[in-house]
Amino acid sequence: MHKILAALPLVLFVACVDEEPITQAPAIEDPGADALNVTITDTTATGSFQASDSVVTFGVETVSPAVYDMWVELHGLHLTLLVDAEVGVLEFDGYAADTGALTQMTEADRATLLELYKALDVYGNDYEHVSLLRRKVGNWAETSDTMNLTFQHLFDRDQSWTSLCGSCGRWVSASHDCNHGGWWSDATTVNALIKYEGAWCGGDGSAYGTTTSVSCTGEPAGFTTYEYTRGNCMGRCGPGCNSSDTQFTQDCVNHDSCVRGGHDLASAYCDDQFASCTDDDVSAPHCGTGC
Amino acid sequence: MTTRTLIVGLGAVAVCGALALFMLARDDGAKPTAASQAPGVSVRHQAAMPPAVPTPTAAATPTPAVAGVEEPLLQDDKEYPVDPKPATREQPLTEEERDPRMKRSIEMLDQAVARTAAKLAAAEAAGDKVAANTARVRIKRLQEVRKQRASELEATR
Repeated sequence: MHKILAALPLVLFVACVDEEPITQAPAIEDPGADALNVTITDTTATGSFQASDSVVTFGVETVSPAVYDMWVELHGLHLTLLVDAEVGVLEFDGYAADTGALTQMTEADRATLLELYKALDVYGNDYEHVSLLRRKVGNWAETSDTMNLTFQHLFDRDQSWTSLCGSCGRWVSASHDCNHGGWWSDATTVNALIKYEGAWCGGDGSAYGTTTSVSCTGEPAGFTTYEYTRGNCMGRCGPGCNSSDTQFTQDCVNHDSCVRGGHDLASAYCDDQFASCTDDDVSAPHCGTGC
Repeated sequence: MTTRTLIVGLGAVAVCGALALFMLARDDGAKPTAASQAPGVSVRHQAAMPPAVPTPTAAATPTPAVAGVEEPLLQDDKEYPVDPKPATREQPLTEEERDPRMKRSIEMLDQAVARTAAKLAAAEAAGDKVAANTARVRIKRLQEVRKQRASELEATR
């Protein structure tokens, strides 16, 4: 009896310390039918979402063709965005809802926005204004702590993105600049698999590897050891996987290479890559979930 | 308290401790931690970006080391969607291209102020203090951003 009792903790520990559970098929959590309430017309949408920690309210208005005015409010933070998708203008702002004071995104904000982003997937692409709102909620869900919430992005809708639809199922080079090195240096560059696939590991969902090894843990110093990474819809614009938004672009895979290359979403080192992504989900083509 | 009860209690404490350690290890795993140096790693990235990385051979494909999970084939037989537009290399905007967009941004901010002012008037008429404050704060922010963009546009001249 004594031996059994003594061995029990060891058995339990060994049983638990295994690889993280793997989800190969992208999983979109169902927030529940009552969690999301949206009123949609041909030109507007307003609604609320019961997230796990609070209620989020949001709205979008089609001001004229390809011109949108949208907002999201959560945790006392008011986020706004003006879009002219035709001319190529994005005017982001974010501030304390009650006073207009400047503020910043926090981990809790990103988590709640991610919940909303996933919940809005149920509307697919039936309404362009709702689709764009969802993708921009995805942008905000990837905004770092240090990113200035008031920022402008000007772009050419036909020249500001590089689609990777033609690279589906293939490895492409992805890079960024950060404290580990400049663009395309060894520590900042990795071969990323462009594929609509779910998380391979826990954490950021990526598997990292060399030609001879694989790991579920990234490197703090970038890609000094690992040559390859994949999983959790690497290269897709937006956080994780989302079946309605399947734009895979070079900017977005570069951002992923930064976030997953020794940094995380809160890292200021990835702010410039993030800003470059914000027009890709406006203009780039969808690759489909078969990517 | 019998010896048996004491042993059971100590066992339970040990189990909880082990589980707590496990949870901490899981949390740490969520962020990048030190990685072991794989032997024989070659120099991978050239100074200049290669135009495309060839698909590695099956032997070179990183396979998540998880029992029971099959590695999907990289070159599986499927139809890839066709780009509705050709992929284009990103090109930074020239000054001539930036200027009209900056002007358009200011125009959009002005129009947003007008729309929000109408909402403010409606909220005040309806006695909706929350909506009125939301509109008031937004107008203030729009005007501040508009001022900033105007000065940025002026600086380019």
